[in-house]
Amino acid sequence: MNLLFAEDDKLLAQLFQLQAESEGHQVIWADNGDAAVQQALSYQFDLIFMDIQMPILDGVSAMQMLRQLGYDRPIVAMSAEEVTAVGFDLVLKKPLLWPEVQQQLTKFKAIPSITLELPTELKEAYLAHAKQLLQQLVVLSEQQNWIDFMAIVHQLKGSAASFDLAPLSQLAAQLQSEWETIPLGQRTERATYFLEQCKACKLK
Amino acid sequence: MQTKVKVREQKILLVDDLDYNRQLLRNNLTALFSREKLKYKAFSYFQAHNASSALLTFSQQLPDIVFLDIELPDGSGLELLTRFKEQKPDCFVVMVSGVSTLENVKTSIASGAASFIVKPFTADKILAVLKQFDRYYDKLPKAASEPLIQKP
Repeated sequence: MNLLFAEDDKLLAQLFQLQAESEGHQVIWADNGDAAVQQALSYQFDLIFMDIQMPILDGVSAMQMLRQLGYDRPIVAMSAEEVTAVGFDLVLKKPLLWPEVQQQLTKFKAIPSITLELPTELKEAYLAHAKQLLQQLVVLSEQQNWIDFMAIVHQLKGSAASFDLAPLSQLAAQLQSEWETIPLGQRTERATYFLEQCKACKLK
Repeated sequence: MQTKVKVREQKILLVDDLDYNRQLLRNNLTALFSREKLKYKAFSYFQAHNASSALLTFSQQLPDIVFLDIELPDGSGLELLTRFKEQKPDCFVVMVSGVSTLENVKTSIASGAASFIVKPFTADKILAVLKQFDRYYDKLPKAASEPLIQKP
């Protein structure tokens, strides 16, 4: 199963990951409640393990936020104290004992994932659009028009992965997260590097 | 005597500045409606590419579901959300964004959004929203969809 493990204690997370992966599960770790909400909204997890005391957003608030957004997949609370909040599917007492976790895991099932329909014409049309955007980026980079440049990067980040161009989205996301910290004098260089990376993706 | 039954087709409004995103979303909505076991699947689609046309279409059509991108060229989807909920409090609004900051999610919930999709689109995310709509719509008081029988 695909598991999301939300826990601010890194060692506990590593231990859980080792144990779960040895049983063939995949584990993604989130170290606070906010990260857990963002990960959960990707709808790629069969089950979420949610610690109650976490920084930024605690486990109960994160669960409530997800339930308010209609998240209907199972969420398991982990706590040394009693948990009274409504919305969890199960409460596991901390410290977690692997045999017990293992037994509880059998109560949950993997949720089959469905694929996005992407008609060839639409994919090709987007591809042509993305190529055009990359050409615009070259011009904007030469003009050092960083506002428009980053607006296009933002658009690529949000849309490319929906059209089967995940690497392009990732590159755009990476650039966007770094951008504000890059000194003005080094932006052209970083932009050129980004454009070369995009070229290397070989858009087909 | 003739009994008038008002057939009410539900409406979906798609708001995104990128034409391809709207097409992709519409394609997948129709595919999911035909493939998955969903209760409500007769919809007509309306589209808007910016905030001002979204406002206009919304007030004309009063849709049942809106997929609303937060980052629009001429305004914020979060502002639109508030205006939509004022006009039609029971409208099911799904916020769509490439950035799911805690602030965005919190503001969306506080302003009455029913759900939140973090881009990129996947079929699992869209299906989760549609299942949620089924549950939501079942609970709504449905004065408008009841047969309108003309009284003498």
